[in-house]
Amino acid sequence: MKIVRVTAMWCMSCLAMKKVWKKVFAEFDDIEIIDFDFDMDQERIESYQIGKVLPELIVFQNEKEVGRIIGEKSKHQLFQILEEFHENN
Amino acid sequence: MKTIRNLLLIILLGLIISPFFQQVKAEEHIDLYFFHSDFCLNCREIETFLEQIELDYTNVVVHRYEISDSSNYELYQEVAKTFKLPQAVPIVAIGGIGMTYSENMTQDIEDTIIRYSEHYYRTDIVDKVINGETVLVTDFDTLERKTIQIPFIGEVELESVSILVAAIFLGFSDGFNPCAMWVLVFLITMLIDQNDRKRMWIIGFTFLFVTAAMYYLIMVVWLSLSQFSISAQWMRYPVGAFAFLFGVYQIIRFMQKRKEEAGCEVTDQESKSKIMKRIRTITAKRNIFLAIAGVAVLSISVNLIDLACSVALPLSFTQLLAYNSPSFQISLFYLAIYVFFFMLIPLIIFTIAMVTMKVTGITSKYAKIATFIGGIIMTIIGFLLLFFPNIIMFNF
Repeated sequence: MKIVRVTAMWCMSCLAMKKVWKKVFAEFDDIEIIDFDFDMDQERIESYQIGKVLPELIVFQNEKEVGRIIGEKSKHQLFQILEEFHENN
Repeated sequence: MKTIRNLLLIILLGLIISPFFQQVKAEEHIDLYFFHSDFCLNCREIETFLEQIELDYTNVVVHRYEISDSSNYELYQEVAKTFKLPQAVPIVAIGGIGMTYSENMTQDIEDTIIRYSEHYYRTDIVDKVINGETVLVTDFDTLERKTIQIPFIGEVELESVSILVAAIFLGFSDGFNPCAMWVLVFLITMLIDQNDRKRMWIIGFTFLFVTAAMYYLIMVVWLSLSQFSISAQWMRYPVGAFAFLFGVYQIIRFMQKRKEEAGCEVTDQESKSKIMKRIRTITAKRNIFLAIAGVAVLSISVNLIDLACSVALPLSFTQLLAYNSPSFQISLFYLAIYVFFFMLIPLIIFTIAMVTMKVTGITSKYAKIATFIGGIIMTIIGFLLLFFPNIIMFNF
C-alpha cells in the first residue's frame, strides 16, 4: 500500500497527527509513505488536486487510488480506515 | 509595512489623546438629591456637610428638596418608597444608593461620591423616579462590598476576584484563537532547522514579547477610550451589539464546522506564503540584530491577524474593566493578566519546542471548543452590556 502524505509546515493538525501516524503505520508492514509539502512541492502535487483541509493522505493500492484520509483522525479511526482499505482491495 | 505604520499611528494617537479623555470624564457631574426639612436638626448637620462637599468635589451637583413644599413632598415619598427607606428626613440619594440619617451618613455620602467618581456606570434612580421610568432591581447599588476568603491570600473583595477570573478566562480562550498560531509554528520549525538554541531563544522570545506588548498597548488604548465613552454612557450600545453579534457568529461557525473534517484549512494562501517568505528571510539573516528587528516587525503585522480574528473578546474585556476599574493603574494590572493568559499557549508551545527541539501540535479540536466557549462568553457579555450593564459592574 502506498500513501501520499501532504502536510504543511504551518499546520498544527499535521504536527499533532505525527505521533498517530507513527504508531498506526507501524502496525502495517506493507505501507510505503511518500511525503509532500503543500507549499514547497506545489507543482508536484498539482495532479492530486488536494482539497481545502490538511493533512491529506491519498491511499494507493496497486498504483490505483483507493481513497483519501482528510484531516485529523484518532489512532482508532485511522487504523480502522486502513484495515478497510486492506480488506476491500 | 503600510498597515504596520497605520497601526502604530493609531496606538500613538490613542495614547496621546487618552489623558484628555480622562480629564473630560473627571468633570462629568454626579447628581446628589437631598430631602430635608427646615425644622430638623440632623438635616442641618448634613446641609453643612453638603456645602463642604460642593466645595471639595466640583463635579457634585446637590439638588435640595424642602419637603414642606407639597410637590417636593410627593417626590420625597416616592423616593423613600423606591429605596425602601423609612419616611424620615434627611434622605440623601446618589445614583443607585439611598440613605437616611445615621452616625456614618456623612462618611457614606463621601464614599458614594468617590465610588461614582471612579466607577463609570451608574443609574440615577431619583432621575428615573422624576421621569416616571421603571426602576429595575439591577439599578440598585450598595456601599457594602462582599468579600470572600481565599486560602493563603485572605479576605478579598468579590469584585476584584470576579475581574481576575474574567481576565484569566477571557485571556485564555482568546489565546486559543488559531488564526495566527501557524506563524509561531512555522517560525519555530524554521528556527529548529538551524539548530542553534541561543538564536532560537532570542528570536522566538522577541516574537512572543513583541506580540504581547502590542496586544497590551492596543488594549490600553481601548480601555482609555472606553473609560471616556462610558462616562458618556453610549459606548456600551455599539460595543454590546458588536460583542453579541460576533459571539453568535462564532457559535454558528462552530455548529457548522463541528461536522466537517478537523484539520488545517487552506485559506488565504497568498498572504500566508508572503509571511512564510518573510520568516525564511528573517531566520536566514546572519546578523542577530537584523533578525531581531525583522521578527519584531513581523510580530506586529501578525498581531493584526490575531486582532481581526477575535477582536470582540479583548474589546469586551476592556469594556468590562472600564465599568469596574477602581483606578487606571489597577486596570493596567488586569490587562497584564489578560495578556499573560492570552500568551500562555504560544509560550508553552515555544518552550516545549525549545526543550525537545520538536514542534508540538495542538489538535484543532481544542481550538474549536475554545471558539465555541469564546462565542458564548461574548454573546453573554454583549447581552449584559446592552440590557443589564449593572451586572457587568459585578455589583454583588
